[in-house]
Amino acid sequence: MKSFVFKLAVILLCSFSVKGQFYLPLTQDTSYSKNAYFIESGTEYHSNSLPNSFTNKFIFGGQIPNEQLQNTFQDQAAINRFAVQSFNEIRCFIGNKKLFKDSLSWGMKAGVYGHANTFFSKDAFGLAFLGNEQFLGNTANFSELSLNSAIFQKIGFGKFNKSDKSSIFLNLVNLQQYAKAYFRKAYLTQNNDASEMDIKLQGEIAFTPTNSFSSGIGFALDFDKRIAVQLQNEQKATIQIQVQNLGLAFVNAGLRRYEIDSTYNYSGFQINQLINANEFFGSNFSLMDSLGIKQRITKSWVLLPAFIQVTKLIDVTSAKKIQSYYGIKLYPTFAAIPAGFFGLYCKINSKFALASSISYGAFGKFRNGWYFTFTGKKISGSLGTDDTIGFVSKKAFGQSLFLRFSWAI
Amino acid sequence: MKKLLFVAFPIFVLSFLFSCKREQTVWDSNWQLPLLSDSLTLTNLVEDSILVVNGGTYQLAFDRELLTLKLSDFVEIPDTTINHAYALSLNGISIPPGTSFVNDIQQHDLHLGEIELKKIVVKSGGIKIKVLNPIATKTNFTVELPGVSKNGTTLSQFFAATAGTNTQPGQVDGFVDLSGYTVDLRGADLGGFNLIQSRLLVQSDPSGQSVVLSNQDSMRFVFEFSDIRLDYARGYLGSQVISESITKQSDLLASIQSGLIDLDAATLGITIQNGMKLSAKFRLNEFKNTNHQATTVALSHSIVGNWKTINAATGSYASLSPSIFQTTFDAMNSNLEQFIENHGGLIGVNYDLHVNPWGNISGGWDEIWDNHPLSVRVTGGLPLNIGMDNLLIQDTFPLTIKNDPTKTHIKSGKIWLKATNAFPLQGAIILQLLDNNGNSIASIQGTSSVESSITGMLVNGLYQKDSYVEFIVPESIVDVLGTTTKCVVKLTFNTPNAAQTLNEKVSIPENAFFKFKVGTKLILENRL
Repeated sequence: MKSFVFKLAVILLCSFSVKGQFYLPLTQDTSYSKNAYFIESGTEYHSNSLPNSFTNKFIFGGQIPNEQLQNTFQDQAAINRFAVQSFNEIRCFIGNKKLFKDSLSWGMKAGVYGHANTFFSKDAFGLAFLGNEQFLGNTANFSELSLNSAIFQKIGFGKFNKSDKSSIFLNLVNLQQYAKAYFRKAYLTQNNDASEMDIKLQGEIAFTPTNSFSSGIGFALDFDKRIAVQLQNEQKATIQIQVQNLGLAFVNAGLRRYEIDSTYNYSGFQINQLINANEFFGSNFSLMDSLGIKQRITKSWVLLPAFIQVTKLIDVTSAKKIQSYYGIKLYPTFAAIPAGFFGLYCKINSKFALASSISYGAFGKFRNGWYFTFTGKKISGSLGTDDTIGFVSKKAFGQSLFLRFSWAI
Repeated sequence: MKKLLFVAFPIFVLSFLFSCKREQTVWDSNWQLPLLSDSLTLTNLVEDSILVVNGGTYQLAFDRELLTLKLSDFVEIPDTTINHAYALSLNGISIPPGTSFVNDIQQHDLHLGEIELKKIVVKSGGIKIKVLNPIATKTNFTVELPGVSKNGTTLSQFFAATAGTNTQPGQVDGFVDLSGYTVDLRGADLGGFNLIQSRLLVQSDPSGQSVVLSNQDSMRFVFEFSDIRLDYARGYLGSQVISESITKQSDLLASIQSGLIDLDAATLGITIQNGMKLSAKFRLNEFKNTNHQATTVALSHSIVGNWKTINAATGSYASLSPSIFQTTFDAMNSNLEQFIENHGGLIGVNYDLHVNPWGNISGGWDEIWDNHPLSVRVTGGLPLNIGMDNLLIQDTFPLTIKNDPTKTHIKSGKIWLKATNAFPLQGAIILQLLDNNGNSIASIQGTSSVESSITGMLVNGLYQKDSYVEFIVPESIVDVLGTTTKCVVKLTFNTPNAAQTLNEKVSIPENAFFKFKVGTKLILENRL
């Protein structure tokens, strides 16, 4: 259990993630006639209820004053979401070769990814950060609490279409760490003087118990389909359907699972329970047994944190100075809601462009992003954030930073 | 170069952001947890069997056997080995198959010293017999033990030994079980004592061949008395003095460190019951206790230091009438109250028991049955009408608390005690933390005492008083928790009167209880 908390903390604090989380304007440009190389890196966290002033304490450290904890607790919604993710990826597309057909070629990618999300009630926040004293004489309901996290590396090989840039990659995945917790029912009821408490728990915690580099091996599919469409005003556009990290990993190191489905009434130990064979809690005492927690280790398959995104792409070859882009994004997790985004892309000159977007959903609420793009003859680069307000305000609910560098030879 | 810088810059920025050593995230959370919930009565402290209710209040009444002397404590047949050789008187004579030799009855002395046993009944054990045969033919042996009988039949057992020579005799081992046998130890002329008789009948193999005997041939027998336990013994059991010193530690009394106890009407009785048909003298040399301040109080009474005659039991086994000697200690004839009020945990008893102090005055007719011992019983009565004045009871428990300030740890807190007390006792609690060397590193005192029931309300026929006590554990004490190895719990009891002006004797009412809940309120400093 301690290991699980530690890992979750590491995941939450060190940050990592999954490519494609960002609402950076994705572009459709000239075909790959040359070899193209990409380095991408991004980190973000996002919530519908946890302000940056609070979250930053977990990233940069420091004391959280009790007043801030109380205020944050009061501001929690009935249902709260938080996610943190990051990625670092290298890709290459070999455009000057062919694979079966002239229009096809192959590419490779490799990267490190991490993702963690949680879905929690206001009471769960209060219990975790303020303690149980907050709930004396009441019932704390932290049902539906869920936590999910994964750190993995992948290396993939795939084919792509040189002209429309559609691609498909099959990746070999090394699952480094994985953790999952879900409590369908979780209640803590206490009397006013804290002399009695009833705990009802129905749920499961599972995590990889080792700190080794590899806890499991799996595979994942990355799919990028570009579809040319005709818009209402007879303008042509490209729609991208993107699926990332659709796959499974087999945890050969075994998942340590703790399962509980019990109601426990506790009002303190009796003297003869406490002092057994002249020692506190004799050798036969087991807290796990007392709480009815079953422990087991299972080797099983786990789902990787995937996402699906459909986007109308920017046409960089267009002469238009301003273009719109928009899309939707889905995370197949209980903790997220579908996200939608809309943005405007402004070409400043032949080399520089600026974009801004508004998005809603996923793990948070409204966000505003700004992105700066440089496009050279061979070299391109992008720098952006999905949370512009988060850069300047501690009252915002997330922060993000995205960097992309590419060059063509 | 420009390209390289362009690539390197974002990598550098990201690396910088995530490679800086991060400060810990720290926040406080407030927790309250129940720790203990129980209800204690007097039965948690003393055995049910010694608690009696008299007039609605408790008193202690105990009856304990202090000492039991049984037959085995006076008489023990030692594991004795007797070697006996039987030389053949015939030389150069050829004997036909089936020739018999009869050995004379042999008497074997049990060597019991001053004890002169004439008759015993064996409870268990027996005689191991080994026969060594030097005759060059198979030989049959019949062992008879004259005087050893059961139901009128003398004990006899048959063995067959293989052929042998003087240097390599044939050997047979056997065991004669004496359980339930009566043994007449007076010998063949019925005038002796401690004598067990044996006779050996030897016969050459009737279906064997003739053999030539030599007067150099010697039959050898080895008798080994093994684990003989007696049910009965008759004779003169000697003049024996049994002196014994007993020292016992009473954990409960030893935990009393200081303070005064005031008792009254306590009685202590000693009963010596002699089920043996022999005379004895008993002398209680000392009965004392030593308390935590090394103050020793010895019980004074006319019996102490003086011999008291213990008469022999009378009658036969079926109608045995043991003799009984009784004496009582009370406030009138002894310092029993001071003795008890010294609350000494180290108790010492020294006594002498002299059996047959006047020699063999029974004419060798002492009798002891194993199930009619000499016993010393102690009986006592102590009405729990007790006064306590700052009576300090202390106990020490091992206690190790990991509280690393660099990790999530207890920052400060308090332990609370909510009690309903139906005992007319007032108690104050101090917790003392000790380090590995036994040095006191912190002391936590309750904010108030647990009040006596005398100041409470009458509920269901019992006065009860609610109390709430807190033990504040500030950060200064939490800081040293990590070095704690032991916790000393100090309880100071008083029995105040209703006006709380002075301590006086109080009676413990029937069904008195101490119901309590203990919980903790903690400030946890979380570090991530």
